[in-house]
Amino acid sequence: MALAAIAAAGAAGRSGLLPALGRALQRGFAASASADDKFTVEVMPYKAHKIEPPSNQVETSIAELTSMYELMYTMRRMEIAADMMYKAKLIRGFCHLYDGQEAVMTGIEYAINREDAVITSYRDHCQLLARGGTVKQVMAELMGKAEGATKGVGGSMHMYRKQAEFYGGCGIVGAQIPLGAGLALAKKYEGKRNIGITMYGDGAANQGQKYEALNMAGLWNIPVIFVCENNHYGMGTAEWRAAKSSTFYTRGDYIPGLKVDGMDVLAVKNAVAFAKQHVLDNGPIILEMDTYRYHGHSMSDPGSTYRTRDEISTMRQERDPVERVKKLLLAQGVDAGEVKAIEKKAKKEVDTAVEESKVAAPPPMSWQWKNVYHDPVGIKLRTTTGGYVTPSYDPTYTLP
Amino acid sequence: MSGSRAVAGLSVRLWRSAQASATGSSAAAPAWRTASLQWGRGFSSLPPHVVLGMPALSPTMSSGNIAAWHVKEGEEVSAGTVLADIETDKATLAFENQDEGFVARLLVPDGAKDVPVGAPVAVIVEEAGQVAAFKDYAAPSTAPAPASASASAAAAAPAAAAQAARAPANFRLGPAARKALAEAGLRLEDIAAPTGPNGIVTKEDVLAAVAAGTKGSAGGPAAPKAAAAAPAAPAAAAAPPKPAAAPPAQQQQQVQQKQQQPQQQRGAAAGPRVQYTDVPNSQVRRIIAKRLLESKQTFPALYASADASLDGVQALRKQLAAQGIKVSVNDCVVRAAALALRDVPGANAAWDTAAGAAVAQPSVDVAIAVATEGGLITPIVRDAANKSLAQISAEVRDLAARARANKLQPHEFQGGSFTISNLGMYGLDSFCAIINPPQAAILAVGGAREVVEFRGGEPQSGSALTATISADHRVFDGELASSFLAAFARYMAHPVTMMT
Repeated sequence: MALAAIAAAGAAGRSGLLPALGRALQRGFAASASADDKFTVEVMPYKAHKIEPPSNQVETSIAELTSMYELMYTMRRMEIAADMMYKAKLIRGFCHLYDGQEAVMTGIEYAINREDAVITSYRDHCQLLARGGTVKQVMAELMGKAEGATKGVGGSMHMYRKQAEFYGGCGIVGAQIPLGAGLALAKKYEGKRNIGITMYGDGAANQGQKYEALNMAGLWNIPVIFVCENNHYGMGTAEWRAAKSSTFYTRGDYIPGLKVDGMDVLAVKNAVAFAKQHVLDNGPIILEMDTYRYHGHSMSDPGSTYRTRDEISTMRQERDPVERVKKLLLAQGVDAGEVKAIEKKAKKEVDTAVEESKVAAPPPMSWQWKNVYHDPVGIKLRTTTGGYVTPSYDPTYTLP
Repeated sequence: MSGSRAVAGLSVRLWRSAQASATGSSAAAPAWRTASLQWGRGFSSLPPHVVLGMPALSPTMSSGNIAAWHVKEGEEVSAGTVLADIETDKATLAFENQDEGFVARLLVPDGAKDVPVGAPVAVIVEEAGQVAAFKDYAAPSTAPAPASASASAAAAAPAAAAQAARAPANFRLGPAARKALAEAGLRLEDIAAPTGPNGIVTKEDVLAAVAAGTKGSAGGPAAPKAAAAAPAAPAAAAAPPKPAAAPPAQQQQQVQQKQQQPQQQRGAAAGPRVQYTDVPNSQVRRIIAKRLLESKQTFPALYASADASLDGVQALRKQLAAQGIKVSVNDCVVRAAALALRDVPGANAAWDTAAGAAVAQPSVDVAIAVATEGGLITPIVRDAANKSLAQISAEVRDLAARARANKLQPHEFQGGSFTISNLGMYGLDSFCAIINPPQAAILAVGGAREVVEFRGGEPQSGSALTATISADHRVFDGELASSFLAAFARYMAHPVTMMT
């Protein structure tokens, strides 16, 4: 049944059958020899634009899948907890949730290393998590506490982790696209064999600076991967109402592109690994991730006024990325108890983080004008109460 | 679906403390909260569960109504299931569940109003078998919300000692509250029960305090005003000042009686502080408003009036009454108008915008304007020219009764080629009505009045009524309008011709 569900989802998952104890011998048209605990999974074929698509046979292992599952499940629980905290008014302001799209960032993370730069938009909680942040840092930041990822001063949309080459966390729609190209240019300029990944959504894909960045990246062979997380709705506008051409992977014209099933972490990982090899020598590429978000655009958006609940629940049942990996693991013979233990651990981590963040202290007021400028040159900043303060710079005031 | 999870007892307390914190109950913590930091200990006999509080579905929401529950106790829910429709201050939104489980208990009923954000509304458990344990579950009482701003709360406190000068927790004041305080002559300390976040005094608090008759403390701009108004107060006291009387009337009568004297002084001293209630506009009235505006703006109207003698009609009515047939003046008016429309076919027309011409209507359908509670409605007497007086009378009576009872079928009030509006029973002599699109004219009939007429050089008394036609000038011109009115007056003056 689980396998039938996977097949129905359109991504041809395991067509193999009886798992051996802890190891799988595959049958079916995706047959390949398995060595140790490695096996091959067939994913949805990629649609390609001006490039030869990579093979849709992805090699993976139980260990990798398990670790991916842990990350994705933690992401899911964390976003659910954020939703509940927001509804309890413990998180205020903007809050854009990533549940449903976990496969995209997880797949990216497993295809690159910590010296490759990543930049994304305001839907960034899970990016921080994938890039080495902890749930506690995310939760505390959301609640505006000093132990947060950006010291409680940034909030939901501004999470950074420079030591892991994660540059945020950007509030302005589409502004991060040229920034990401610049980050990749820096890698090339410094002679490093590293890339930059710049993530944006289907709404931002129509913005002008994206094309300026594509032009420069193409011209100078910048090793940047443009990742379009196509969840099919700008805030509430469906992609076909916003874009003349909603085949975003072809929008780069002379820049090659691939369309990837963004709900399948292995498909994403395979595509990004392929893309990394491509951009290091051949210049930029666009990856369109066909994904879906279950929540509304942000917590102010119920998410059901521009799409039907049927659509959302169909996605949950047929293409849920976390469930897919779980089914894959179980089909591979991983013990259900082990999976449950992973889930329990993730839940405990999230719950602990929530509890600790609730009682944590908010940042002191003086942090508002600390490290605003590297060299304040004695200027004065006007505060909300009408007074003036001189900002200070403290080189020891760094992020966790 | 994914199998059952063994949720640690920890997460239960977490969600419970989530909503406890949300209600701000740091001081009055329920007893179970002291156990919240003990890891891995279950408590009491209840299986692990999650208590869902009223969610804040919009950033400005502080309380909401449960419009309807979409799940029942014992039902299985999963991520994305809609638990309830919740009315917020802005709209009715769906409350979605985020996790899998079973609904163990719904703590507030359908239609519960003003449930504060964070108050427990439902309990979710993981397994169906655990549902039964929550049959008699009562949510731990959350810390009481700050005293509501209703006058009952304020009045319940000893009215005479209502000026309990308890300094509010927060001295911050918004501009609206500040203005309200100044107008009412109160000071911040006089507001005993602030309801704003963090104990801020809001404008509503000030208004409620005024309504409850809170006296201002000495000093401030009210004092000299009160002194100056004191001589005027006895005079004003005789006739209860309207603005001051209005708000207590909306609150509680006994409060008003108790506070009458100081209230009037307050009213005189405070100046024109008018309070009002908003009556939401019903859909019917909204549509009426829209159509009236459209009619007035788009039609060039022509107004003409004529008097119709009622002597003949009154005599006819007496004769018919003697035979046991009841006919009203309005019925005669309807019949006369219908016959006039038959005789002057140009008058029974409508303006067709598409064709840009007056289009004659196939039959004479006269609509009668009936005032009902919800608004004005116009039931139609179809083919009135071919119906006898008695028929018209019966039909009008039936239609009017059903109109008032809101039982008209759509075809009975939609359409018609002509409308008659009779305000004679309200004592009006004449008035001009607004045309009902897509018709081309409306006849406004006044009441019967005694007139002196000259017949054969001798003044004689009689009765007459004034009928004013408002007509679409694109369809009617002066001549057409006057020929219609002349025909109408002729039929009215000689009711025997209405019998044919």
